[in-house]
Amino acid sequence: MTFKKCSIQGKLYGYVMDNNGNEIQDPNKLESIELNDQDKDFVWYDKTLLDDIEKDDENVHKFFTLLSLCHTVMPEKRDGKIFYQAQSPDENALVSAARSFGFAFQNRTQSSITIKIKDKEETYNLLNILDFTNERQRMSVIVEKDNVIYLYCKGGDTKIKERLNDSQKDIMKQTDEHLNNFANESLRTLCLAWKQLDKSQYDQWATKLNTAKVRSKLPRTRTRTLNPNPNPKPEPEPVPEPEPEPEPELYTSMEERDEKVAEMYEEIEQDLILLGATAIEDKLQDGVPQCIERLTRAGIKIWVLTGDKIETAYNIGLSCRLLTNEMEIKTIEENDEESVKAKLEDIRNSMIEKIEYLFNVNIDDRDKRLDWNQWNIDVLNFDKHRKKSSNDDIKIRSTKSVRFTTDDKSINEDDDDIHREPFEGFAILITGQALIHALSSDLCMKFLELATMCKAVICCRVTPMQKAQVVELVMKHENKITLAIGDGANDVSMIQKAHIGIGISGQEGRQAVLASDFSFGQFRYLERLLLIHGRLSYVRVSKFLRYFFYKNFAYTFCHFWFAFFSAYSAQSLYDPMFGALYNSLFSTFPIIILSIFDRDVNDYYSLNKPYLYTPGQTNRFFNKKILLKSIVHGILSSLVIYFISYLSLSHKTINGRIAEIDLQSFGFLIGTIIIIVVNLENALEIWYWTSYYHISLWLTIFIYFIFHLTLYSSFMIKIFKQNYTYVGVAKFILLDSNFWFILLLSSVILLLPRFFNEFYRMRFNPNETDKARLNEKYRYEEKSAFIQHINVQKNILRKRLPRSSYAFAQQEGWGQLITSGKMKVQQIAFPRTSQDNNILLRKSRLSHHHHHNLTGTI
Amino acid sequence: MSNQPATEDNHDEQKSKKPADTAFKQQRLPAWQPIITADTALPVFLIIGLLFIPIGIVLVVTSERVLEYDLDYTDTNCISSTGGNVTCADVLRSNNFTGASCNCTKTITLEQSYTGEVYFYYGLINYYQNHRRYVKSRDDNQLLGKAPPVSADCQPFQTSANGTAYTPCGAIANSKFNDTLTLSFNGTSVPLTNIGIAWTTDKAVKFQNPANPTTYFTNASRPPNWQKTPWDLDTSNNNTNNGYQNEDFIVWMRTAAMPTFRKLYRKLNLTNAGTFQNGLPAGNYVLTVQYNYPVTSFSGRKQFIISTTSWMGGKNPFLGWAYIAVGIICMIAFVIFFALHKTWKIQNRPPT
Repeated sequence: MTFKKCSIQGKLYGYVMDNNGNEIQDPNKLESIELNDQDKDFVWYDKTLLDDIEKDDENVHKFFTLLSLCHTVMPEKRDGKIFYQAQSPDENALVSAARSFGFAFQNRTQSSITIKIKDKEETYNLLNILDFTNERQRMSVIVEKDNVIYLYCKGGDTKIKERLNDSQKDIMKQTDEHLNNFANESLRTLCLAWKQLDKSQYDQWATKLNTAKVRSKLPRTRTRTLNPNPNPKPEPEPVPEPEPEPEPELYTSMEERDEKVAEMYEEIEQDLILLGATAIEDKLQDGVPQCIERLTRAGIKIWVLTGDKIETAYNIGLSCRLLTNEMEIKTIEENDEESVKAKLEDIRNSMIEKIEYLFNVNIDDRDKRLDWNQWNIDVLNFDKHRKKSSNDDIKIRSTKSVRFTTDDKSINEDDDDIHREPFEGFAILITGQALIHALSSDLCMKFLELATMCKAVICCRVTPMQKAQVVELVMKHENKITLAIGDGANDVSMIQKAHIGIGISGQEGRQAVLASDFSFGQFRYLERLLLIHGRLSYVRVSKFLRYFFYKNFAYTFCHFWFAFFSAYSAQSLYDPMFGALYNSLFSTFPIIILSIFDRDVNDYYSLNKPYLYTPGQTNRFFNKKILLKSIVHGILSSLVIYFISYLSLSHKTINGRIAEIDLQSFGFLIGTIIIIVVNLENALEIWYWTSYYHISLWLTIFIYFIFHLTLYSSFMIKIFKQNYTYVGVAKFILLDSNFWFILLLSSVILLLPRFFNEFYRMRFNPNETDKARLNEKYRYEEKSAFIQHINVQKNILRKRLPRSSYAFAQQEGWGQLITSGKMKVQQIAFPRTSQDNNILLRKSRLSHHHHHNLTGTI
Repeated sequence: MSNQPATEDNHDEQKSKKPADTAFKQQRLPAWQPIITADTALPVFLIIGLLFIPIGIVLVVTSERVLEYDLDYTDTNCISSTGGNVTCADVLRSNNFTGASCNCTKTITLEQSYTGEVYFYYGLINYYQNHRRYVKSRDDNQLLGKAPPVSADCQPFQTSANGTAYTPCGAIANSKFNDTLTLSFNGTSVPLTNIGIAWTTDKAVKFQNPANPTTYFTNASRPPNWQKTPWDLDTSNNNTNNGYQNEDFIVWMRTAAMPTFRKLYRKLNLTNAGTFQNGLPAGNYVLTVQYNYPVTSFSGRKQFIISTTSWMGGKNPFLGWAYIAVGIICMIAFVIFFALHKTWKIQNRPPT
């Protein structure tokens, strides 16, 4: 947070103009001005402000005096320097800026504030602090110096505007313009105002305020620690203690007291004189736009709940690519219920019209809830569903023949899209005032309907309570998983409300982190959390669950089939020892290793193909159907294993021709086949064979044999002097050729269809995950981009187009790199038509390498 | 990567909860990432097809070359030789199964000569040797020659009325098959051996007689259904094939997996020179049955089976046909998908 610009009495500061009157924005071309006591990241370029301070301009003077007085910052002296401890980074930025301009806040006591203006210390008597609350959205101090009482106030523009003296209209108009400028630059704004108070007027008011407070002194609210304001509130100057009220009028609750006090505050904060406005830059963290863009492409609906002004929020939305110029952005700023309702209806109608206009959709029942799914429109790819004029059709046919079949959606963009009106979905901007009504029980479903139709929803000027209400609204009616992420104390309620709460640990304290399920340092880590860790976790858990159902059904149902042959007497088919160890030793380690290490594609692909995230949202990898499938798979496996063995062995003597299979041998034979089939099935499931997996898989099978050969050996009788029905069974079965033939046959019958299915899907019907895997392994995309490049080059040569090939390169040229000697001419990577510049930039180093590989294959 | 021992300087870093930057913890382990494509799948189909069809043919031929003769002698094939045209089953029933014996003879015609080793089985049908309570009713430690008391698992055949333990105890032992089956060819009896018909491990390890078996078995109570004491089971091989080590007994004690089963009864003794030196010649044989074992009360059936064997054991062509079927399916799949693979446009691949 840094102080960037300000407007004082209608004069703008902070802009540096060039000779043509345009703002110079490139910081490299500006010279920063050295200031005293400067914060690290605070830079100031505009000299006019310093000149005005030098000139002792009254307004400028007052402006900065206000900044150094009206706050709740605590100073802390360390090593002779003063450090500020502020509740919010905004306050810190303002007070620090004031210090840099020579209005240094020095010290505060309960009843005084000391500031140093141009090396001259001044002490103000602090009479009252009218503290900030989310409802008031402003704070004031009442100070006294040289027997003059001042009220200084700073707060949100709307709140200040309401309280200005009528004489301030003109200046407010001008300042409003400036405020809009600031908001358009995504700066956070505050308005500053002041007034002088009569001594008598103040005394009267102070008495009333005291009464309001004293009344509150119910036995249980008497102690000061119960004061709802987090900051220590200095008692007002000793005013004659009012007489106890004759009739003990007691408040019934703290809220009522607060209300009374707020009323008193309201009373004094009137007829203010505008000083100006400040603009603070709240820098977006690194990687936020990219993160948001990827999350949007991952099918995650993003709602921004912010306390900022609507313009600021709009601009931040644009700068983080949540909003784009191709979106239909609807704004709801109404203040009363009727007009909000009308506006919602209005937006709904215009949405319907737009949809009918753009898509092949006829909305007959206008009252029915709007839903993209009901028209089978993929919100991530509107262009696919757009109406096509006959003109477009021809174009498509002609372009298709040269188009390359690649899976990347960004490359998929048709040429003919250029000729169509662009459309990237709807977005809603709504203010906190309007949200109060939109969240009311009458309108909330309407609002939710529209909001779910939108790609982005931005709620501005919302209170912490509203943040939680919005989350609750979605949770209650949408049946979707919600995630709330925030860094401030005002995000705590929504972090706690949402299914998943994430706190960003940063400047704004630890409240959000303490209330969260996960916390990290920067917003952009969210994309790794969701797109990599969350996605892989889902893939793994799905496989884990499917496999567990499968393997237990395969195991149990052999038992079930056997019941038909053992007179339903509940005779166990297996050795009890095998039954005990099946789920703990003989089929466990491979699936555990799979659940830890399996992955389809690497981090890079996970991040750059956010649509790979969508299966999780639609439960595509584990749902009722898949659960049923794995159960049926398990049952079929048991059926094959049991009946192949049964039919092969019945009426037949085996091994040394002396016996038909006995119960114990049959159980061991079935058990062995199950172990091998079930473990190899797992091997077909896994995509990522680490050495740990190899060890766990082969060791499990090996241990199975060793364990049984040992347990069933005659040594055991000799050692333990106990007979065991199963003695000799393992050797008997393993030496029999029938067993091996049955094993081979069962394994092939059970694993080959699975193998076939995998092959068939990969070859003829690959899903997105499969495509990504193929791409990662065979680098299809890179090859296709390279070939495309070669083709383009050929065309250029053939047609001798007068254009240079730079037209095809979306990157900056390589000139700088070449002249600096960092890159030789031969090594220039081919420019590619991939839309994602980020991929390109990130991979530019990689692509040199590929270049060599690929030229070999062409 | 930077998994080096901590120096003084990065001591603070060590205290953080950040996981170590190792390939294991950061999931960067090198891995084989196979993708099942046409290049791997189609050869697998071809190989399985080419392998399974010949295997299946070999198995079917092997099974077909096994000769087997079954005779169900439960009732009509075993008419009491004392006359009256009653079946032995009826004789047993009319005596209320009190141990009366019945003899019968039956002529068997072998169309082919059974060369090599010939095995004689008794088969039982609808006989649930795998019933839970039946399977449980035995005491393996008793069979090791250990002294009583015997396990309660043997109930209701644990102890006799006089309080001594049954030797051997339990329902399995009590229900031991006790028909005597003999075969003669042109008046000469076919030489059969009852040695080497049980599992070698069973005979060597699991079944041991107690010390002083003669006195032990004479004094102990035999199971209620037994007509002989365990020590009199085989009168010709006194010490090696009696008591718990009697091979007929051992074979019986290995309970069958299925309700229809056969157990080895005798082997053809090939050691004597003469008619049966090379097996059973074709012709008429007379089977003499001493019919002691009642099965009709529970709708059971009894069979007498003569069979040669192969390296795969007895006659059962199922496995062979299954192999052939799977092989053929694989070949068909190979042909179809090879054709599809060659004709279908390859997805997601750049044009070449």
